[in-house]
Amino acid sequence: MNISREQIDRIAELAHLELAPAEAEAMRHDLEAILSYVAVLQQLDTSGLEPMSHPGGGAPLPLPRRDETQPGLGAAAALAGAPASGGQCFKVPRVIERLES
Amino acid sequence: MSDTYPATIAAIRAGLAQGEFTARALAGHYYERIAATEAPAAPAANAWLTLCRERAEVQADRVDALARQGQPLPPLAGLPLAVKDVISMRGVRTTCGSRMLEHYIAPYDATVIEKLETAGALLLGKVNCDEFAMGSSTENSAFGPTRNPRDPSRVPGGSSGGSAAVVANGSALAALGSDTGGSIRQPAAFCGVVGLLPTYGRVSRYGLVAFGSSLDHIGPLTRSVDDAARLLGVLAGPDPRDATCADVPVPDYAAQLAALPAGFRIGVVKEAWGGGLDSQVEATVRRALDRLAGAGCDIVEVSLPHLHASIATYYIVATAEASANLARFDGVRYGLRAEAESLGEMYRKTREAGFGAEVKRRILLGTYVLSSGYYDAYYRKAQLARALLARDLDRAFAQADLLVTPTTPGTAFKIGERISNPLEMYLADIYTVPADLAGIPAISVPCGEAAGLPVGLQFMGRHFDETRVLQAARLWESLHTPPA
Repeated sequence: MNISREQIDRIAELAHLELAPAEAEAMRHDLEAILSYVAVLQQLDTSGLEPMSHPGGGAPLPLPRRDETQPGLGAAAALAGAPASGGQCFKVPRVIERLES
Repeated sequence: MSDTYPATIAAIRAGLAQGEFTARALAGHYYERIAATEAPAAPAANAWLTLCRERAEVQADRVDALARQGQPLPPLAGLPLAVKDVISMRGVRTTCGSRMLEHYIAPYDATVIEKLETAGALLLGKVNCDEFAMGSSTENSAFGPTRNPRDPSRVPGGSSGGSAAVVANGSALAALGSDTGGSIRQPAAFCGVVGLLPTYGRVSRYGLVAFGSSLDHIGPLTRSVDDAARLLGVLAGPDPRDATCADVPVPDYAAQLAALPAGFRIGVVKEAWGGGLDSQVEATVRRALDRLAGAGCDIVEVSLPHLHASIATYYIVATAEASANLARFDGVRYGLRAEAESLGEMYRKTREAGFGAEVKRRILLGTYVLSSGYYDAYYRKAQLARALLARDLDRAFAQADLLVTPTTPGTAFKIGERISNPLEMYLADIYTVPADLAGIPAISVPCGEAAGLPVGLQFMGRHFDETRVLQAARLWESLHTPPA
């Protein structure tokens, strides 16, 4: 299983990771080894099966909660861990440029 | 009693009720023990990350007040307990073993935390783990590796390595862990303690920081099977805040422990022998099976023909889910933020600085297997393989009440020995991942030693049949450690 540096860079971009060059090369090497190993799955006969996304074992799940208001976390508590906040908002670097008048 | 305290949940509760000691003094005793095990000369276990002594003492005073008034004590009264640092406790630092959350204070309690405190447990603090529960050695913690109490040059296993180490070194009587591919049972085996994986949906995960949502479980690590049964009895049950938590009645596990019926059928998984299994671990486990047969269990051979594919299946499903779950760590709402000019750059720099190598590796792998053009070949195929493994297990359970394997192919390895080879680290999960993939309960119990290191014996049961899993484990425990 060959993975190119371009592929690693593309995956990292999708995953919002910014890898240093040496790190990207190490990850490329590890992913090649892991993907070669998981190729064992291609030999399995899985005909007649449905993809399993949830191992519930058929157990009954609880009824949905009643549609009633309950006290929430509150803005102050929700913002307490934020690296930057203002008023009732999380602050992030500007994403929209202001039009000069 | 001044300096020795009972070491079971039942005996602590009885001692408190009879006024033999106070929960406050018991808590103090355990904090002294923590200080001793974390002292640099020991060498330091490096298991405890955050202590919450004030909270534990308030709780101890509450228990002591009940005892003084002669009121009935709750089921876990005075139990000194450690919490894996992936479980949220309000007002307490919850790091997940990551730089990303080094200073994060959780704003709410996990459901299991509420249940434990209602049941009278003393939550001493938070313990180390692999970063975001990804690893098998606790070496992936941003706060350094935890040492195995049985041999400080070795790992305690992982990812709940701190949980297993503190139970084994006596700085907590029990601990909460989480298990996605073996992270409760493998460290329990490596440290010589009991580790219980409940059925998927048996215990609420509200407040557990998510890794692989179709695989994550919370469960106890303890010194005895009885303690594991008592803890499960408190932890289990539906939770309106967790839509995956099943509405299934909770039996009195502890009361039924001794009730294992005669002629009980235990299926030995034949594919578990050989491969990478250490010969001394195999000999120890085979001796245990002989003794179970001698005690009246009907030992039969069963087959899991696709066991060899379980690791590949697991590392695709788990990393795919992890890549989605860990997208939330972006520097906006909590945790680390790296300053940058643009939002996209901030995300990338924050995640680059906040995550360690194994977490990045799994995010990349998960992103790859979910990406356009590869989804069917990897992720969908792994979901089909998961169904195949679940069908194998169903067929095996048609022939046996429980299945048995070693918990791990080898014993605790040296710190640093495997950290540079992720695939080799993954392969050690071969016996533990099937239960997570199928959502069935399993337990690891100490079953002897190989070259002086603890060996674990794993029992797996049918969905929601923790009762029999615990009964078999208790039977083995009674054969292995006769009453004093």
